Amino acid sequence: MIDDKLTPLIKDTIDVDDNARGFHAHYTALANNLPQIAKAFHSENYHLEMITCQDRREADTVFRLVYQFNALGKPQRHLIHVDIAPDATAPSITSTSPAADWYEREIYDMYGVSFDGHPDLKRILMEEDYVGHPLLKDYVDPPSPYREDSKEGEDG
Amino acid sequence: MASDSQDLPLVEGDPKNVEEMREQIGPLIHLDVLENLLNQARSRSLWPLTFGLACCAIEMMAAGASRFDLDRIGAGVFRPSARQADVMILAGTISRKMAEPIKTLWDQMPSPKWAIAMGGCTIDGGPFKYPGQYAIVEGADKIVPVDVYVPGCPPRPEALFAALFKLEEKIRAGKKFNG
Repeated sequence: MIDDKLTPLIKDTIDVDDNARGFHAHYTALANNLPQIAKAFHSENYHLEMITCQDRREADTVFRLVYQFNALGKPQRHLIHVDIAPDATAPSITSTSPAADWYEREIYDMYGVSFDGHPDLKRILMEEDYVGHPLLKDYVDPPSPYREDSKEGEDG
Repeated sequence: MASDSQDLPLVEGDPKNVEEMREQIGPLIHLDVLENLLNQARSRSLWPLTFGLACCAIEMMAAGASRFDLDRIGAGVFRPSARQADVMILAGTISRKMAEPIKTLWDQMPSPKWAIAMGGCTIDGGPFKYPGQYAIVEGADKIVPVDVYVPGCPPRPEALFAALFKLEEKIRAGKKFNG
């Protein structure tokens, strides 16, 4: 069972409810355990649904990576939160879940979080010579020839 | 001598480089009658470049299909190669990452060439324009020189037809075109 395999890998169990809609289990984990967690889900025929990131530097001084795993055929969607320090890197899970490739590239593009072991970590949505990471809370877009720099409050 | 020309004071409207000068003078030999004839031919046989950027492209495809049939006005020959096309219909939101490929395509098209900005996004960014946005190009005219703007979100195929008629008018008028 997936729960037995996850127990040694997770840090905290926030919620497990087999009758809930949406997420049936909600865990937090340490970044070092991510590859093992991905392998555990993979061995139980779970697939990676999504990875995303939250910029929580102001409140908790961390970036929070959010992983979703799901299995078809049974209502089991797992949510895993991984907090990493702003200057730290996270291990890539592309070797187990190839679907993570573009998600990790997007997180790198938008938040500047690096993933160790990613085969080709480069920008995915922004142009290659773009400077900065636009979804950071404190980010101000540099002047661009593609944008009319309208004044604050002006009706765009 | 580049250094000499830099010493001269530039007045407004002065050609600053050879390209600009050529554009102002045009060809060295003017054959007015022949030019008019060529413009007549050009205006009635527009070959758009096959490419769509977003949802406006669906309306562009509808305009090309049987119900509206762009071929009726001789503009239905969508070319898959920029080397064979002379009209660029910018149909849809232009993301910043797409700006470079579009510039390349425009440069690959042989002159004379024209551009139609179809829909709100290509006019000024449309619904995606807000202070500090990082994703899109606010208006196709920041990348290519646009001849005709088509408002709408998306414009109906009839509006694209109207734009093509306006473009034909512009081509036929040549330098005498006024609005």
